[in-house]
Amino acid sequence: MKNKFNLRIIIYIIISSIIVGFVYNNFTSDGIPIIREKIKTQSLSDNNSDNSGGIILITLSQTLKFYNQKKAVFIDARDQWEYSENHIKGAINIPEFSFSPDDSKLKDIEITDDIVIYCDGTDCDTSKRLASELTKIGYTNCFVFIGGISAWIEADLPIEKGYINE
Amino acid sequence: MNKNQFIKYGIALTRIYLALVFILSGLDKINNLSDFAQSIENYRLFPTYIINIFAIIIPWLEVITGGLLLLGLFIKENAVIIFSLLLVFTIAVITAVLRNLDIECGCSGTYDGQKVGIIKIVENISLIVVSFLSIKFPNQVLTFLKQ
Repeated sequence: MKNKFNLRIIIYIIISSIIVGFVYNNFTSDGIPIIREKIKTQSLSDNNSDNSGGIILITLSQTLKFYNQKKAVFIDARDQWEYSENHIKGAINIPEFSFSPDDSKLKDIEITDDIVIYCDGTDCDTSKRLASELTKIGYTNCFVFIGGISAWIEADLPIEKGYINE
Repeated sequence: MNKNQFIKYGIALTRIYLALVFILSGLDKINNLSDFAQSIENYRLFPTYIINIFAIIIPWLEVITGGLLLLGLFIKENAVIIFSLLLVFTIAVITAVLRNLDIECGCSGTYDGQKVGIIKIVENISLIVVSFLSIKFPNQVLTFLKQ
C-alpha cells in the first residue's frame, strides 16, 4: 500500500481554506477585524495621575465600593447561559459577542453613569471589549472588574441566578 | 464479513466520526468568530495581532478537511491536516494546563463550556489516534465519492 501523501493537495486545501475564510469574514455581518487590537488598560489608581485613556480596571474592593454606593450599573458581559447560572445580584446582561449600540438595555443608562462591567475572571477579555464598545459610543465612566464573577463568588458576595429580561 | 473487511469498515467509521467532529466544531466556530478569537487569545500563546487571522482561517480549514474526509476525497491528505491541527490544539491545551490557566478550551465549538484539562487532552489524543489510522490505512469503504 502506498503510504505517501500528495503535498500539493494539502497546500491547495490550506489555500482554499484561507481564501474562503477571508471572503466569508468580509461578507458576513459577524465578521471580525483581520488585525486584532490590543485593548489599552490602566488601573483606577493610575487614572488619577495619568489620564492616558484606555479601559479602567478595578479590584474587588473598588468594585464593592461601587456596589455598596448603589449608584453604578453592573453589566455582565458573558453570554446569557453563563449569566443565568449566576451573576452579581442586580447586574444586567449585555453579552459582548452580540453587542449592539441600539440594545434596549442601554436606554436606561445615562451616558455619565458609573458602569461596572465584568465577565469570568482575569483570563476573560469580553468585559474589556464591551467597555471599549461602550466608551466608543460615548459612555464616559466604564470600569472593568478584573476579578469577575469568580472573585465575587470567592468573596461570598451576593449573587443571583436566572435571567433578568429587561 | 471477514476480518479484513471488518477492520476496513471499523477504520472507515472512525474516519466518518472524525469528519463529523471537525465539520460541526468548525461550523460552530464560524458562527461565533469573535468568541473563537477570544478563546485563542486566552491561551496567551500568540501575539494579539495574528489571533484574528487564525480565528478566520482555522474553522474553515476544519470544515473543508472534515467535508472532504466525509466524502472520501483525498483521505490521506485531509487526515494529515487534521492530525497536525489536533497536535497543535493538544500542545496548546497541555501548555495551558501546565500554566494553571482556568480557561475554556474553545475546541469543539465555542459554547461547549469545556475547560482545558486532562479530559480534553485524552479526548484530543484519541482523535489523534483516529486521524493516524486514516493516514496509515486509508480505504474507500463508506465513501460518498470515489477518487
